[in-house]
Amino acid sequence: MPELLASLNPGLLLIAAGVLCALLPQRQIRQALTVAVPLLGLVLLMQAPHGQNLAEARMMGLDLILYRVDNLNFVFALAFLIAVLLNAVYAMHDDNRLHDGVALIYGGASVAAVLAGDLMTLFIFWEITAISSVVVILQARTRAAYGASMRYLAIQILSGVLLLNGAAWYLNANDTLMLPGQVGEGIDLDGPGAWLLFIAFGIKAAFPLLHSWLVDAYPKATVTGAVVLSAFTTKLAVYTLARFFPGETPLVWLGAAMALFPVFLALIENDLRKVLALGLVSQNGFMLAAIGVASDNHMQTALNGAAGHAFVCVIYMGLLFMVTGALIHRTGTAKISELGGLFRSMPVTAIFAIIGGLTLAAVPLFSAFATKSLIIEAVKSSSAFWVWISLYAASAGVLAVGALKVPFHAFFGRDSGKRVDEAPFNMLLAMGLAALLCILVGLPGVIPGFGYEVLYNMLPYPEAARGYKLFTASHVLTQLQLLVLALLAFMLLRRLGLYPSEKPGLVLDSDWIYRRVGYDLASWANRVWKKAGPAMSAGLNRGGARLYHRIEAASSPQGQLSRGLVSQSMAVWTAVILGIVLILTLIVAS
Amino acid sequence: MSDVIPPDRDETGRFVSAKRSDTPTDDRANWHPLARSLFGWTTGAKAPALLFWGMVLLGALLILGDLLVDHKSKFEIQNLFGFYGFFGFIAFGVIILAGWLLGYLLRRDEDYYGDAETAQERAWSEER
Repeated sequence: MPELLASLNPGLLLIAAGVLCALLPQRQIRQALTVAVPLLGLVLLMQAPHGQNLAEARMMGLDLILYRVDNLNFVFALAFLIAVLLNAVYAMHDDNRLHDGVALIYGGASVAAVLAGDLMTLFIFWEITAISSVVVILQARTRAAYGASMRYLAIQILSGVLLLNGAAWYLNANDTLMLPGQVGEGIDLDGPGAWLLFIAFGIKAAFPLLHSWLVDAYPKATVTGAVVLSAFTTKLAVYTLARFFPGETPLVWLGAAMALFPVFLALIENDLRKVLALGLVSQNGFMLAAIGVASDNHMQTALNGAAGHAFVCVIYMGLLFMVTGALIHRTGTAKISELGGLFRSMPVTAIFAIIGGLTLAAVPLFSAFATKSLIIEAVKSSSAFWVWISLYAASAGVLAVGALKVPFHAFFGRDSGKRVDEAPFNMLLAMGLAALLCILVGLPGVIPGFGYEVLYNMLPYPEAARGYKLFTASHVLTQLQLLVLALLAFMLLRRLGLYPSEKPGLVLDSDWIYRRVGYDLASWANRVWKKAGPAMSAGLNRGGARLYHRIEAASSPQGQLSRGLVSQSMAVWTAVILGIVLILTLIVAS
Repeated sequence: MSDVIPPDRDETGRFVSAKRSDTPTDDRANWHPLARSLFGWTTGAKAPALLFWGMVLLGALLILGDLLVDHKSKFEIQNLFGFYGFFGFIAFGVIILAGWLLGYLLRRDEDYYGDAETAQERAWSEER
């Protein structure tokens, strides 16, 4: 029995439970399942041996490895299972079996995808995450969500098609579909196949200009849906990039751009969930930059940083999305211009917002400080000065999300006059658990079993992580200097009246290219075709008719060419000559 | 744009009066009990100034901390006194001030793409 359990992929377990939940009308049983199954999954994952193929299959002549745990994917799978658990608790106030089921399927497919040992298995679960997440977005049942979900689906399917083509190339080149064996090994970014894989992963990781599906769709989901969406897709892509492309230079620059530019947009954005989506892109940028510098002697620190930051990011971004969800649940809006002063009604949620914000800003004693420091350290050792500077600027800039928007403008600042109830108990419980994790993973390891060292021991290279001294006076001082002085800049500019006020409105993003320019081009082409089409058919008809009349006038039995003896005898002679040629050809050929 | 303009704003969404913290004290009865003890102090008339000068003091102390700590720097620029503090101040200042330009260039009406929630849809979703 233990052997059978050891070969049971927790992701598949979650998917099966998800299908069951979607069919199960009894609320209590269903919600008990949504909590119990991820817990069971956690147990299964914890006791799975590392570096072995735990479940294999053979299909269409391909060897598939359905379940394989190693030092890299363990921490991602762990983060996903914790997220599934927290999301289930967060959604308990709502009796929606489709949401409960699809959330489990989506989380399960993500877990199964990171635990896959070959590209075909990865592709299958890659697509299941795309389809199940579209159902999560559609749950909002609004016109905007429908449009966003269709754009989202198109882009996700594009990513899947590219992945499938890349996988075919990979099979052709390597004679196997197995993922690169050793952690940190990867493949070289040369040849069209590697680029196909790179872009397929990049779309889901929200590369610059390919990120708008995320900022477009997440804010349009339901309260619970946005929390579910925030956890999985982009982190799955971060994992695949860490698996396939560690040390590839393009990732360094893409990561630095991703970390820095979204914070500029976040500062002027009015929709809280859009702000968080931009913050999420920025945090993924840090991970990609770390994966990009993962070579030579800082490879271990870099991959530790990327994997660790992905783990804590799933939890603190989840926490911030939960906080915003609670605000929407109670006030009915996520627009900052309509919020403000809500600590009066929701003080406990405000505390969780502050904890989430402090973690996002990587304040010492909170979890992100432990992991972002590893990333900064790796970038520093790689001597990439401008990347290092960009990441520091992004570290200050992320305060726009983690300090200004979520805690300050929503809960403090000017009073909106809204007096509502505190968030429901299950939401507070989920937020409390997430906040607790943010703190427990950030503390120095004074109490055994707590503190950042627990996370460091689970990273791809535990020895390298343990060798890194986190709480040095220099690390703490520089980080506090950066954040405190950055906040001071905000306070000063606000006192001077130079802070741009919160205004309602929509901030354009790169989806403008297809939603406006592309749409306008298509509708222009449509208008042109509506006029040109009939004109062209009429012209063609007229031309055809004229040609027909000319031919008829010449060649019909009453036509010019048929009149007179010469034409008649010519026709007879032509037939005779043709007949002779045919007979001669037959004789020669035989 | 939202259909209803809140009473304290003009039609562009700007706050008309900059005065705050004049929430009537009797409104405190409507607050969550924890709110008064935890965050009540933030509504005090002097709280913003106190917070600001507290941060100034904290920032100054942190920069002075550079006198005591050796950063073992990798890049030349890190050797500058209080580099991280000044960098954070300038970087975030630039990001905030860029908001004026970006807001002017990129901010559009909420129904720019024609998918903003109509009043009818809102009523329907609230009913749900």
